Amino acid sequence: MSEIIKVEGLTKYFPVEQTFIERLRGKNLFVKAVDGVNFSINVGETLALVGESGCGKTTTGRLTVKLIEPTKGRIIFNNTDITHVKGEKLRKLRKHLQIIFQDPYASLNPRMRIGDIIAEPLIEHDLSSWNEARNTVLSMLERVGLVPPELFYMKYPHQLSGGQRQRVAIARAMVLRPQFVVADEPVSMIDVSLRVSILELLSSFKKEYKTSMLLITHDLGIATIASENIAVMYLGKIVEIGPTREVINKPAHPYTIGLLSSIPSLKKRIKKITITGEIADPKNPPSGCRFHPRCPFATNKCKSEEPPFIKVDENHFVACHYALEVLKK
Amino acid sequence: MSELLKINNLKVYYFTLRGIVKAVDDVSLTLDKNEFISIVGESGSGKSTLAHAIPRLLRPPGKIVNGDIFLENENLTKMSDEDIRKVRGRKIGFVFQDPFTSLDPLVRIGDQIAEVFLEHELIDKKEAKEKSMKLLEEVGIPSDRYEYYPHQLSGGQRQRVAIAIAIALNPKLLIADEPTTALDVIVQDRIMDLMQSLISKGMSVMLITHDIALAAERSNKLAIMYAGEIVEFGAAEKIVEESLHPYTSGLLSSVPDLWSDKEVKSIPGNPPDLIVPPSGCRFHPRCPFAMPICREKKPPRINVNNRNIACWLYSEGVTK
Repeated sequence: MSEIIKVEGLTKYFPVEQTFIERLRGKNLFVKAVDGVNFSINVGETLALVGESGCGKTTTGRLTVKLIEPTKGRIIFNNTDITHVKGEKLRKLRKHLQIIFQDPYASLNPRMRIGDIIAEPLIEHDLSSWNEARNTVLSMLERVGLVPPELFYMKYPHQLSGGQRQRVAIARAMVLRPQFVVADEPVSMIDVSLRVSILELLSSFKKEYKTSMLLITHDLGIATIASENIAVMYLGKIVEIGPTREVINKPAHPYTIGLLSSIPSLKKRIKKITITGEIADPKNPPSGCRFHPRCPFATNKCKSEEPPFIKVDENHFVACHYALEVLKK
Repeated sequence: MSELLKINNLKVYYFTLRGIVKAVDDVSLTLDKNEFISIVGESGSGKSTLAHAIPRLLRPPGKIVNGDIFLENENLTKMSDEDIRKVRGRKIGFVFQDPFTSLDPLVRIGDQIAEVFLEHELIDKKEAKEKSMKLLEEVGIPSDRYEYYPHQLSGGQRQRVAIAIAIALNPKLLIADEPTTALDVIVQDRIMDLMQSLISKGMSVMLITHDIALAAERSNKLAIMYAGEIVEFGAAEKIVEESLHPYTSGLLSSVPDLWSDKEVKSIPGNPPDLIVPPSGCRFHPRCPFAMPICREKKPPRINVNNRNIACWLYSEGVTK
């Protein structure tokens, strides 16, 4: 299968606001939000990017669709380097790169009718006129389950529930038939009972349009039902990446195991590792392996040496000095 | 076991310009001492309103219009404002959803805890500080953080401080309204461990949550709430084993299970508008088993296998 998007050494440092005195002293502080991330996504597949808040997963998503400029690294889309594309070229590129935001209460213009919100991208990219767009939008509304479409076309965002709004946000992104979509926590603000239907909608588009997706989520349960591959992120770095089933059933990074052990379950939970403490300050990440202060298996080596990626299986890589030992436990 | 809290036919309505929102509509439940109960429901089901109604923290236009709330045989709904103030903190502790807004950003965390002692007990500042430090340790925060301000703490730590404030006076009942929704799973797990440990200290806990898996794992009892009503109420373990109400079954099958390929399903449709709730059983427009009678008549609350449910499927003599 061919790759649609690939990122290499993707890095984003945000400068921290400092006082004049601090700057004179020459302390340049940065939040190392994303620090050398590599992954690739095949045509029609979904990579779930999983991690706690503050781990850099949203920044990674925004970088890949060029909403912000990376500090370092490359983004390759359809075998072309798009890292430094700007202006009109970037605008044209956006047709193929779309994003669905977390908060459907903030991502839709409250003064626009639902129909116009969905039609706007078509007009903006010169794909149709307002008149022609109407039919496309009506069938799109029906497609995302907002029926009768004529009625929903005329409504305003505040008249819809959270779940319905997220359907509008999906319709707006998908109406361009993009090749790649970043879905940033698309269901975290939606009731548990409705989440699956939103995910099903996303995956039906994925099948129909062969769209590839980067699904950003903090919920491993969501990742399990909606992705082919999982990348687990911790403090700006990917610590484990591999096929979804394999990462869930045979996790090899202590952080992944800890995450899996803390998810509430309707059955008896298999609690292998208890992680204490909280994610460290990304301005000043721990030395060596960034997870070592919270890791129950940490040794002196973990404090000083940054772990390389170890291949534990076909396509399954783990950044832990003791991945193979952890796997046996 | 002895009864701590008893709610009878409670109705809480919001009198808005659009109409009357029947947020809690004829809810009855009981909670024993040393019990962990969870109220589970979607957003807008009235679970949070129910929680706020117990210590009478409702704000206008919300109002208790009917029913009684007994805490150890004292009727909270009949109490004067003066008396209910004494119940809050001393007998009922409350933890709010958002640890980023429930603490005072300008007061050191230790002083926020000490304030509770100074307000309710006749002790001096030095003693209050000692007690606060002890309490901080109890909820898992090193006591040298006494001088910290809320912004210096992470979300999980702030929620620990909020819990410390709520349990400072050893209340009989701790009500926690979605205490971990704003937190990550790992931190959520630790906070839930902390809440569960309170049971062994003689407290009862009422958890308000939308996450049925979280609730089922930690509670003795579950109350499933839909559109202002409790549709199923019983032992947590039994409900997970075999749910009776179709809404409960729907909730249970919408939870992804990591380790099996169990099919996950959404409940079709959306929760109703509580100004004009559906006729008959409020769940009927979304129910896969809806019968003609469900549209017409409200199902009575009946007991089936130690479980209290409101569903026509279990009433005898109903044509299916």
